[in-house]
Amino acid sequence: MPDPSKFAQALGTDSFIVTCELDPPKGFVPSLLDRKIAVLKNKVQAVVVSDNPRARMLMAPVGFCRYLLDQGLELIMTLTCRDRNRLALQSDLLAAAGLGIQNILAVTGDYITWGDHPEGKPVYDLDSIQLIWAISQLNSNRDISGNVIEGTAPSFTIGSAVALTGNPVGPQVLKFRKKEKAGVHFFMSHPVFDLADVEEFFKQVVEIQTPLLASVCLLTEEQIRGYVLGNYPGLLIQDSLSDKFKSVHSTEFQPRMIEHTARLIETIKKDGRFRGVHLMLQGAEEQIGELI
Amino acid sequence: MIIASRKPFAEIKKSIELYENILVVGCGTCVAVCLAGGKKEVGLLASQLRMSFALDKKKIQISEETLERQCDHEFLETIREPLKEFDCLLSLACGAGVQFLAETYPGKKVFPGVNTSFIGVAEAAGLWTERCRACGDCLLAITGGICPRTLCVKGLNNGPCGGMIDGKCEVDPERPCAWVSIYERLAEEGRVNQIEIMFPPTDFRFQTKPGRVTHRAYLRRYNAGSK
Repeated sequence: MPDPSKFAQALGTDSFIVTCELDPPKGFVPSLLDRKIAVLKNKVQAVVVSDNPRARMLMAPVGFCRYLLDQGLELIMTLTCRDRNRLALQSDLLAAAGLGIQNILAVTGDYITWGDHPEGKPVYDLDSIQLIWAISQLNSNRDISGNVIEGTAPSFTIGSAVALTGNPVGPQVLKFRKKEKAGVHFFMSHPVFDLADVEEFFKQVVEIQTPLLASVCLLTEEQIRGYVLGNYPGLLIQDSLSDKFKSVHSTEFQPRMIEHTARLIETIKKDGRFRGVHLMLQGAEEQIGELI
Repeated sequence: MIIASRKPFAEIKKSIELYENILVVGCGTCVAVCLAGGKKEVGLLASQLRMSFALDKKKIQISEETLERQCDHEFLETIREPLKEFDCLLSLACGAGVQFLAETYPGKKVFPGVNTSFIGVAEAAGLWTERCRACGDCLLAITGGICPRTLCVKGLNNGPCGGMIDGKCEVDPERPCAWVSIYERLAEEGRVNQIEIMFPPTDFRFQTKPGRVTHRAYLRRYNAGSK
């Protein structure tokens, strides 16, 4: 079995982990993102490569990950259940293992109508729990039909998402527990904007054995001004936050939002329940230095 | 029952305008209940077509007939003789009925007048909603009589996605999240433990198209194979 990834090793220490999401290019020239890549390389433990985020068609994560590996980055490759059936998911995982990609974030995937091909057929042959189980099977040298995988078994570190702010919280706790049973190694939350919003979840999940990273999203002006409950997948912005920023002038918006988000990161760091933060900077990756 | 809705008039008219003697064939079962293709809808569509073609100064004969069901040989046979005088059949049955009509009468030009939507229920007069995907492997016993394969837009088997907000679906904030409904129902009944284990991936062999179901009595009577 290959050595555990650097990210897996970091999960085993007490250090506070920082990861950052990076979308692959909408095109075939990954070097277009070189400036962002150079900045992130020195700031985070791992870059989380998204998989057609919000159902927008981008370069396949396995291809972009290969480019980032050549740049010496530690990677977490996202794999959604939306675009591939069980054969395609597993064969992409074999490709990832073959290229040296060791960390996978297994998620359901935003529904296809959110994206730029809304008329397409969504797949969801497996759900995220079944995908976690499938990756665990590959780690044991078997595919999900029980066939033997040739050669050395991959040693994927398996991550998944958890909606800490879900309401009602019961069904989200149920799913969280099922993911733990399916073999997940770490969790990344959906965006958290205020730790008060996660208290209901932690009332039911008093002790977390699996490392959990809180996701922090640097909101854009458009998201704050145009937000209506349900108009952006997985995003729950409370009125108190919108009200705080609605009157801020455009020229001041981003610096103020960065300041606010940096404070949130500090709060999360001191909280003690989180092993790190996962940053979703939505295009502003070069400004990561102002946040951490 | 099967729920359908009538195709736009312009599309129907365009599909049949090359023909001179047209029979509009209704279906008296599901599509009659959902007010898409029963006797009354046949009459309305036929009148609309007659007026429209008359305005175009086209001499097209439109006749009407409604069968008990178009998905059954017994009823399709009742129009074998009268059908001979028509060169075009406009069926207001569901997709199954349209195809069975076409199959029964080779050589006749058959056109659909409705779009078939889903297997559903009448929630109220004029409101029909989907309940079943005909997956061939019913799991309602475990999910408290609520089907996630149908009512969850992603058809998830193991709980809600992270997009659920305030108990509503990520895709339609007006619609309850199917997994919240399942969880709450089972919690009320003290049966949440039923969904705490991982459901294995769906076996899509149950959904291999085209589907076929054979009753034991049929096998005995015709000594047919097991399929």
